[in-house]
Amino acid sequence: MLFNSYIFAIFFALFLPLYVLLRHRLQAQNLLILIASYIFYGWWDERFLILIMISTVTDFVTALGLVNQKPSLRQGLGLTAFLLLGATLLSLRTWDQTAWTLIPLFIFVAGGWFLHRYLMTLEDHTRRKAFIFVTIITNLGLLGFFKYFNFFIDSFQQSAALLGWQVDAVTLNIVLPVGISFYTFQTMSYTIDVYRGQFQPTRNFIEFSAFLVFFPQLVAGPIERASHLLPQFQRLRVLQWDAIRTGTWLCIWGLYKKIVIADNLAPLANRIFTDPSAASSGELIAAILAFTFQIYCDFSGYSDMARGLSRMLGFDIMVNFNLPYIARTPTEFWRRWHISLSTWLRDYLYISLGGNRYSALLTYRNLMITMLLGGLWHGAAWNYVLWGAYQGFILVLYRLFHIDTWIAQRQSSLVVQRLQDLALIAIMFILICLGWLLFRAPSLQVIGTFIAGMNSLEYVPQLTTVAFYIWPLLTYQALQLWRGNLEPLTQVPWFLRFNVQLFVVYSLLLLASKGGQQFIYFNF
Amino acid sequence: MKKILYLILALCYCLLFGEFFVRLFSPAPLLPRYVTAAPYGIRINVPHAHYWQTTPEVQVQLRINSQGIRSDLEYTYDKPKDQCRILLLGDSFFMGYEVDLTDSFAYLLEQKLNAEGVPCQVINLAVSGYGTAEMLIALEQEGLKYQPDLVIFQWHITDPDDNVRSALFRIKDGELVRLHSTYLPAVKLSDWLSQFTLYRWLIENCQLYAALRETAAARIKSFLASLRKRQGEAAISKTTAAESPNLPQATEYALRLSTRLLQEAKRISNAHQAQFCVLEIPDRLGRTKFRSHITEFFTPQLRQELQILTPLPMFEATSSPALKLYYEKGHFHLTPEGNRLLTEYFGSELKKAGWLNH
Repeated sequence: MLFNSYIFAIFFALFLPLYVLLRHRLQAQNLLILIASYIFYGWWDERFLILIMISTVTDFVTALGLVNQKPSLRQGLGLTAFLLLGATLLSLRTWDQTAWTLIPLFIFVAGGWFLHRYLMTLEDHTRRKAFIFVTIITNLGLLGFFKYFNFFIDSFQQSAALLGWQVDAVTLNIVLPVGISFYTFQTMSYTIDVYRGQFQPTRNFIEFSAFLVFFPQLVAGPIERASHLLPQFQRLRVLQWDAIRTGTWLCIWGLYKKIVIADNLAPLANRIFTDPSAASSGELIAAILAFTFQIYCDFSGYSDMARGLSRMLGFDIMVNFNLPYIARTPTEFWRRWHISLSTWLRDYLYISLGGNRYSALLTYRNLMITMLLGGLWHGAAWNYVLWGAYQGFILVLYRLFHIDTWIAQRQSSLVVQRLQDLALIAIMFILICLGWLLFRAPSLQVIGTFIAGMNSLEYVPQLTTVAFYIWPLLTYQALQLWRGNLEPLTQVPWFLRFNVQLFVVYSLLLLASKGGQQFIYFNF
Repeated sequence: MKKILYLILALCYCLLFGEFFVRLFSPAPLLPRYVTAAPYGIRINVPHAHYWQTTPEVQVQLRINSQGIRSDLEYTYDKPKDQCRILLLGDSFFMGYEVDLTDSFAYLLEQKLNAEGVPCQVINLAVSGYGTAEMLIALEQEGLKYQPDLVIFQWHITDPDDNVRSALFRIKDGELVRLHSTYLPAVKLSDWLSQFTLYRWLIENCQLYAALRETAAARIKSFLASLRKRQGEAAISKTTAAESPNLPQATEYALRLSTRLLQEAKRISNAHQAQFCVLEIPDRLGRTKFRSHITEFFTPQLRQELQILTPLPMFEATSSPALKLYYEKGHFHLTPEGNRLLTEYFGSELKKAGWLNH
């Protein structure tokens, strides 16, 4: 169910009155969110709900185990019934092919029960280690199997072939469950925070599972932290007119970014990336620019819609993009781009590896590892690994030359500083665009064709197309920058606000792409 | 009262803003269509209608005679002595949208034949929006009264979908049967609206109205097409699907229906001593790139049987980046050059076939 589809509009129109009706009953409202979120996710493929359910149960139980608590007998039976429900959904369509999955599920429940009983007998330090190990293995195991199994098998086969060995390995026809990387990271952060003693686990299974599958941000983030989102499931949400008004605008603005900008730039980028050998230098540059804004508008548009929908429901979810293309350095870029992922990687990977607490060399190593894994998080393909390596490399390069420190400590006049900033932004923007080339190119050969082909600056009509679709975005971002507010319309005169809103609504009606595209990040 | 005034002012401002927006960012062609209901349940051009079509590339006037034909002449049903008659049935391409009457295919063909010493009247019963199903009904109910010697059906990629959507015919147990007696989409509404001068002014001058109507129509059209295709799928026999495994089932049904409609049109024409052929308007992919669907859609036997002709090779040979055969900022109809080329092609095919030799 895509946000930009009629079916989602119907879904939300049915959901909202029920949600408002239950505004004084917290538990019932959470249950409604949970059911609605499962319907929302199951619309793609109800069989994958079992994966979310396994993650939910595992993290609920292990988080309690980390603080030496366990579910009550009633809860235990409830959790088993919950998993059985998932197994039933899995088997609904193709019973004869999927009935066998009940066996591993039974082993999972029974084995889990025995393991839990055993772990609870261990002394505190060992028990905590064991529980966190269980949760990481389960979550990363599911993610690794569904996302990376074939990739590593294929890569192994190819590497062996290079050495002259023929390896007959099994590859499976595995379908990637939508949003698996997002909800896996969200649930892991909950348990790790409990393990680190930064957060007290909840004993309420409904609020925990609703937090994990909250439909506005389930399939493409932002990857929320339990400390921020879970408490919002623990108190009655107040529905305010102002929040509904601004939330609706965020949704409309996100939709505009997606269906007017991203979807109209997509065919241009797709055409040239498919066959770059026939394109001129200008066309190659236009394709990279088109993809640079396509991916930004596609992903940040989704995040805006997620935030807008959440706000309408009385939730506040984190900002995921903060004008990333005006970053002056790679560090700043990662503070502005996909903020929920970069902070996740920082808090749970980079810092765990040692961060910048040791020697410069170890810091560079940590940066490279973090960015390589960050690249791999995006997908099971070598171009994402290459992109991650590239991001790590430019982070190290800027750190090597102390550019961030220089920016923070420079003493020149304001005018000079602004000019320096402009130059830094321009350089960084070129580096970002090159990064997107690595990210989007289907093969090394295509990357080579692009690099060899971009040998002159020339005007091509495709540049006008890119400019036609991005100028309103750039104007809006200039307003955001000027007002120092990501929602600047609240601070401008009503007449200007009214005209901006009219412009966006007319654009949605008349300039929206005819052929809808799926959100790029659904694949990650 | 004050609030109502503000509301009206705000509404007017929004509409003006929209008009300004469309003209600046997404200029919409103004191609009004004046059609009304014929007694036989399908659309015909409104008799005596005179109206303008304006696009960023061209402005032309369309004049419809009392018989609903785009022509400055009136035609009798009785064929004049020593003259042959060609009957054209098609949609906006044959009707000559976006070109002056003197640049339309019907006019050019008549001129060419007369110049070559073949006195002939070309009667153009084309109506914008027609599919093969409506062409067949128009032929039966009106066209044959003109005693044509040759009937030309236009073929375009939109026809299969149009034929399914109109639901005038369907295939039942392998036979072509009439399903609904009428297909008059929004005709009552447009008849009613056309009484008002303001509405007529809007459709001929307001780009916002044209753009919104087009967007809404495209969405409704695709929704209806998907519904009807689903219905059509049920009617496809497994045998037919196996014959053309490369086509999606719904397309397969639409093509089968279209083929049967063309076969029926040929049968009726021949029964009235008229020759029959089908002339394709190739699909425009770019200024020098076109696509014909007939080789993909019809077997060589069917192409032979139905005399399906395509000017694709001539279009491809003649096209150049400097030459526009189709308009590019309107609804992609043929330009005067495109119509001339089509006429030239068809004239030569006509000679080869000898359909008018008697």
